[in-house]
Amino acid sequence: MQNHINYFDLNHLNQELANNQRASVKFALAVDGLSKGNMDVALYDPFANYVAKKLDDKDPKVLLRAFLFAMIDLQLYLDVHPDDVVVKELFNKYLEEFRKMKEEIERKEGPLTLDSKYNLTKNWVWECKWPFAGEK
Amino acid sequence: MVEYLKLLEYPLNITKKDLNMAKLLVSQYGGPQGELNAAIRYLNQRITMPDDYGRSLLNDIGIEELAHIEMLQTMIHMLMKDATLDELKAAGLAGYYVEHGKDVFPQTPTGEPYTTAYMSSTGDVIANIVEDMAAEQKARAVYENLIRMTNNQEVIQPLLFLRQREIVHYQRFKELLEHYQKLGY
Repeated sequence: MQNHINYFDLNHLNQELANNQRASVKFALAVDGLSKGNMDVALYDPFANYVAKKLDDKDPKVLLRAFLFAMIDLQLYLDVHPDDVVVKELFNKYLEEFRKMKEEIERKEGPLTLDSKYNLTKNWVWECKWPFAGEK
Repeated sequence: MVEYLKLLEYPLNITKKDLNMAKLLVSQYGGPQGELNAAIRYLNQRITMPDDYGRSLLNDIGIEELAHIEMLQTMIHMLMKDATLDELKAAGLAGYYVEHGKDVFPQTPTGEPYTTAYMSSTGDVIANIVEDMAAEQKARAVYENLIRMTNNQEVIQPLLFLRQREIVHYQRFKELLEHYQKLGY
């Protein structure tokens, strides 16, 4: 039986992902990757003495963004390394976590995409606040 | 088809207006090394790539650049929205205001509007990818110049993120170049 993953419990997921890292390329954990703009640990190249601030891994929106960012960055890697099944496994993991987190946030805040099941309403609802309005 | 997700790639919350920075940031939207130029060029070039390596990578980076356009639009808006007319005049943005109000408009900091003349696309696989690698390095350099122009962490942090993305894109383009060179292009 598959264990239930509480997606607010990052430690569990992090442990699972860490166990996955048999690949030649080492990828960061999603929130670290998002905070730095780079999932590929060896490729990360800081600018002078500037330090990338670690984003709040208790914030559901940061987690949603982190799982999406992980997918985006692993996708670029997979585009040019399509035979790397270990990294594909990581990608799949992040995809699952992203979908769960998206569901959780949409349940509270409304649809984030057109095809969201929270768009199955009587009246038109596009109520989730716009990203350019500013967020924490 | 592009599917919209109502979420910025990286969180933005700029609480302090800074017209000078807004004026400079416009450059990474509509300037020669800007995200608009990169996005459209990659999305054009993907169509004539010889296999799925090139088609996929140019497609996916092109789409990510669209998300970067959204970030820059948001940053420029946040830096400018609370400015008074006097502040706009003092920042040398009177001309911008007359033409565009407080809309976000793709141009250089000195006011030249975005032009497709910035866009290099030759129909040659190797030339296109090398051009794209250079574009990523140029954009990285411009982001570094921009970071040096401010002390505001609310601006610096997203710029560090965007700069780092140029490094990743450059690396993946380099791997794509090696793939095509191995195939004899």
